[in-house]
Amino acid sequence: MQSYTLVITVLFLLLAQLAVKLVTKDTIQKKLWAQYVRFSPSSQLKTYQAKAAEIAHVVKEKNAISPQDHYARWTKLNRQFDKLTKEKAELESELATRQAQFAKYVSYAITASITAPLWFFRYQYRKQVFFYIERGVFPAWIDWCLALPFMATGCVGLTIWSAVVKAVLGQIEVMVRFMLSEEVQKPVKVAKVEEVK
Amino acid sequence: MSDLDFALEPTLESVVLHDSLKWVFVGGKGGVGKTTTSCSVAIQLAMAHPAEEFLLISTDPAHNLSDAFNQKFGKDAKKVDGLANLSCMEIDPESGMADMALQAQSQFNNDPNDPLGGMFKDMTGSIPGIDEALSFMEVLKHIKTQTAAPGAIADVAAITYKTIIFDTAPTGHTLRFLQLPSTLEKLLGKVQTLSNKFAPMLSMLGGGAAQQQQTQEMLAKLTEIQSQVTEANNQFQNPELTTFVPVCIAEFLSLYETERLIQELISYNMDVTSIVVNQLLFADSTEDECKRCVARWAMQKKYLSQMDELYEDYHLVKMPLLGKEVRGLANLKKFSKYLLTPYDPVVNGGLVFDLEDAK
Repeated sequence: MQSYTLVITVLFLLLAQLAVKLVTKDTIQKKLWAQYVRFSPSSQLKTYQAKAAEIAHVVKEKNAISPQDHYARWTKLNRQFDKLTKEKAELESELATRQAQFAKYVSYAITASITAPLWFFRYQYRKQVFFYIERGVFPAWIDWCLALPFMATGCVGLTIWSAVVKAVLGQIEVMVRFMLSEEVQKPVKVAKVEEVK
Repeated sequence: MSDLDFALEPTLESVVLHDSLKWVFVGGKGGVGKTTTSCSVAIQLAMAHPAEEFLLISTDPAHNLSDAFNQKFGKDAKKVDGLANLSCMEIDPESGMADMALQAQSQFNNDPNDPLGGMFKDMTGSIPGIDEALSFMEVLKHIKTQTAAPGAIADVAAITYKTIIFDTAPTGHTLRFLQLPSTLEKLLGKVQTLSNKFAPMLSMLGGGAAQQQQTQEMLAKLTEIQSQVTEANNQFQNPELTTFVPVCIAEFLSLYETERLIQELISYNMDVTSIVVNQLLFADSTEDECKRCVARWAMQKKYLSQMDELYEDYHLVKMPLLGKEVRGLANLKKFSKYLLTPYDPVVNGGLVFDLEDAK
């Protein structure tokens, strides 16, 4: 593979890795599971969704009437609500195992599409030179360090380059998180209260 | 078309005349008239079966049975003055705990100067649910007596009661108490499995023959308790043997609590077929001059009609609010009559101001 193709591919993979870190794997798994539940042909999931919809309907009906004025109807709705909630909880525990399995597959997919290629490239193109450093720009020992692990001194390979890019992206992440975080109010000096004698 | 054809009669006849009932629990939120109702049920049962013995047990430390009958009762069953086949018992959890603590301590350490002396009592006294456990121990004792073959009872003084009526605690711990049998069953089962697994190892660790014998005795005792607990569990879930009578008043919160209670009882497979609605005013505007009574009766009627719709599969017994507290055997007899024949305000209205003063 051409060096510039590899550089751009690895850059995108590293950006994807950062994106997964920011969004968190958990969120991705949950969102994908929600979509799967919506479009899946599985009957168990359809039953679960129907139950959830029924519960929402019963709650809406219950909140629309006064328990004191329509006690019998309210209590019957309450009984229905308890029964449906119990059934939903049972379905949920069955689905929890399925969800855990689904989350595992999502995790495998993320690893296969981002982490695995990175490792593969690092191994496959470990001797490919990406950049050359002009002699004299840095001291000799820095040139030697930048050439690790397999390069001749003065060359920069994929390992060092991706490590540097990762560090830069890490700093960008810190800045973005800081900018998106809540502003801390400046502490106000409390006026001294005079004692009433 | 009338649903009255399908409505169940509004009396407790199904409880009082039910021949095979052994356990009757009366429960509900505080202040609804549980004790009055439990005393009334006990009296009607005793009067319907004069040749049989009945026992009314209360675990409320406020000695409500003594107040209800104007007679002192204690932790030993004592007959009610005027009703020879009804006995009452008030289990005081605190003194029961003290007895148990003394007994346990005497087994372990007889030294009166032992600084750890009071520790056992302090420890066990603060266990939540201990009062339920104690009343349950009492239940187990009676199960032992009642299920033993005639002639096999070692204690000659032990009486076999036809039915035992429980005036349950007002704090809502009743449900925990009813859960005890199944909880204990599981607990004891686990202890049994564990002890079977570790018995060879423990015997290897030594301790001599005396220690081993003590362990064996303890295990035998546990097995005995376990079989009694299983029996209690089976009896409480058998509708021919056990029933629960919730008591409530015609107000929203009481009804809501009663509904929750009934749903929980259903989940424990406990039979509930009757509900007592107490403290009803029966103040129709044409006959009653008290505007407040008429207004409150209107509110009560609203809830009563809702209850008729909600509990059409239950016997809904409607009891009146009287002019005085229902205390003493004579007054309780007058009041309890209406558990079996529905109260009619027109015909029976005289009862409201007819109660005798306490002597």
